[in-house]
Amino acid sequence: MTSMREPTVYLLAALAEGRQHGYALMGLIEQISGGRVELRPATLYGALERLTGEGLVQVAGEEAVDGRLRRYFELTNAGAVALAEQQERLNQAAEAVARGLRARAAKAATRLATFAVREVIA
Amino acid sequence: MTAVEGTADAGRLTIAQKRYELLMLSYPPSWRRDNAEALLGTCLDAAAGRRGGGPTLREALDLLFHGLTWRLRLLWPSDQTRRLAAALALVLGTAIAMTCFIAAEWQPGVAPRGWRIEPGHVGPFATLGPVIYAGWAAALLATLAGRAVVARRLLLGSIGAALVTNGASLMFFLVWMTTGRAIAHPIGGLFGLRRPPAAVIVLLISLALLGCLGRLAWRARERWLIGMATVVLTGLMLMMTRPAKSSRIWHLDQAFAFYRSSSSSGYHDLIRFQTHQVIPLIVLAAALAWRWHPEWLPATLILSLVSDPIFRLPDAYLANVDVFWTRAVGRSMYSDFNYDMLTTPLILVALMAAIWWRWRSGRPSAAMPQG
Repeated sequence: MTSMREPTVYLLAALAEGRQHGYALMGLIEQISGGRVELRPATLYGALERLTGEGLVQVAGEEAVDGRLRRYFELTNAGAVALAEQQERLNQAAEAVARGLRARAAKAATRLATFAVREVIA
Repeated sequence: MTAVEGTADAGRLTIAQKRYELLMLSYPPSWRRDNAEALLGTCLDAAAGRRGGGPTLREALDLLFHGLTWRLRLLWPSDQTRRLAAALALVLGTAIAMTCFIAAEWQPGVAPRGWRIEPGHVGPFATLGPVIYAGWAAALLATLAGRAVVARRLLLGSIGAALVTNGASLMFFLVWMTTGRAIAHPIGGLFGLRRPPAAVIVLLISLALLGCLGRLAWRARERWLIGMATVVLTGLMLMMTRPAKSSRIWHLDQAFAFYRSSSSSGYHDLIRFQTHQVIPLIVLAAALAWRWHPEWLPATLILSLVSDPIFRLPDAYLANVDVFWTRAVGRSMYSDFNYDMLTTPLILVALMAAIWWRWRSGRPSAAMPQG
């Protein structure tokens, strides 16, 4: 399982909700990433071209709105599989982080308890 | 929105559209044909969402960056071409390394008459060259054994060895370029050791970089071919050094006299002896730029084979050249001109003509994925 960069994961996640055009994707990615990932049009199209080349995304029609061309993109089945793999990877990472923090909190609690007991004895 | 606001908006959008279109000129035409309209639509949607009109500075830089990256990507050769170039570079580089090693490095038994064992030799060898050549030989063996990653590391190692034995003096080369002062090789100055000619070093470094560009992983039958090609090419190059009929020692003063004589004399050798070695490299570079014409690569190999005799023409032929020029111009040219100076422009003109012809007949557009 190769690890994808964060913007790519959010891009695929945004497309998992359904077919989207470029501008809608920009807004959706910003929204679901809590404002942390903000893709500009050229970067977005660069990523979409790369993912199209890898077979994870495909073009899903075009339409003209107010004289502007809107090209729609959608996730392919391979893209959905890749996204699920990323979810698995991120879940594992989140579990590892949670385990580590729990262990740290437990140790801190033990230290605190020991300290309190010593204070009481003293 | 009133009618006046609507007209103002339309006016702003037209200006914005023009600015975006101008920025998109950084993309290659083939890309623009398929994608520009969709990207422009998204840009205009974003601009309308901001109600700010034209592209922001960050958007503009983003467009320029991605456009220029696309152009570079079109120049970048395909995997297959890079693998082929890497294999040819390996064959050519190993053959050159082995030829230099066999024909010019061994000090006693094979040194031609009249050659002294120069001070500053490295054990039984004339120069530090075998350190670099060993990397090439090992890289070939690794490739033949199917160890592509090891082969690449060994090539990088040979580059490192070349830089370590010559690197310090590259600075002195700059001094020579700017001030015209030829400074003896600093490693030689520091340790009293000699180095191979800079022309050979530069050529081998360039070929090693080419060799690292593509994966050297080939099937067994092709590996066998690579090994055979290297052996045959080394043999041919050694034959060009012409073993003398009268004795069993190599008679090398035609092809390899410069190898030792230049080792202690700054970087004149880089300029004087590079032509017949660098021209095949130019062709190879052209082949990489013309990625849809892989047949340039075998042509390079052939040119590298024939260019040496072209540039080191036999004396008898040179005498005829001299007679020709004497008749044509009225006085002997041979004493005034190095024959390289006559031959090099001819080769370059032929190369330029070939490139121009290729350019005129039109570059096919690169296929671009939709989206």
